[in-house]
Amino acid sequence: MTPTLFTRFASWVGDFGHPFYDDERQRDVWNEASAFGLQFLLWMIPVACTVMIWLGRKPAIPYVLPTMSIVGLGSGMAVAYAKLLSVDLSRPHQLNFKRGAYFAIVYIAFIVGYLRAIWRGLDGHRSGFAVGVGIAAGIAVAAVLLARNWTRMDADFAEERARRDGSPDDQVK
Amino acid sequence: MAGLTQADLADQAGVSRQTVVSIEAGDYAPSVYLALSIAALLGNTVEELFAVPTLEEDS
Repeated sequence: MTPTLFTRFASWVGDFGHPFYDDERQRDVWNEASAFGLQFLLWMIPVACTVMIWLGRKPAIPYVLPTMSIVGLGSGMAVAYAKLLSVDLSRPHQLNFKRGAYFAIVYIAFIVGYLRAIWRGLDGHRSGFAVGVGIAAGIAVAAVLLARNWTRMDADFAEERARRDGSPDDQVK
Repeated sequence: MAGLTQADLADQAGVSRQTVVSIEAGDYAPSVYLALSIAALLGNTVEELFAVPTLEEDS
């Protein structure tokens, strides 16, 4: 893979050049530990922000929005890095829909809490409302794009499997 | 086999002693490169060091 600015940045942030990574078992274990840490943060930060927005309402917005944005950015960068190395996490047969549903419940609770906070404190401040509309629109666009992508990938996957199953070269002799 | 301690083997293979311990215990499956390196250091083949599971064992 040709290094790009993004992969160089990832290497710097992850300190991939550290001699620690030379030991493959240490590297594997640390990769698992990092995945655990990332997934833990992807759960705990939105849960904490949801609690904050429901309890703190409008005054909590300046704290929870940047925090949630950082979570989204980190998660997006992890997915983008994997995709650069040909690991596409958005393929429908690689997703765990049950876990996705749990995530969705937390994020929906956050969005509802956020909307509740801005509805109660609109009093002339339209920026909060605009962010709420932006979040809803962003989720809707992402859902449409993902659905379109999945349909196309499902078709590609079915075609690939049909070709593989039908090919005499791949059959066990 | 080759008169090496776990620490010697780890040093020469460029891994930690804990990695050698884990491989010996069957807790960690090394990469092809590391398996070849360990086999060469011990004067064995990879097949001799790492048992290949048979179909019966798998099922």
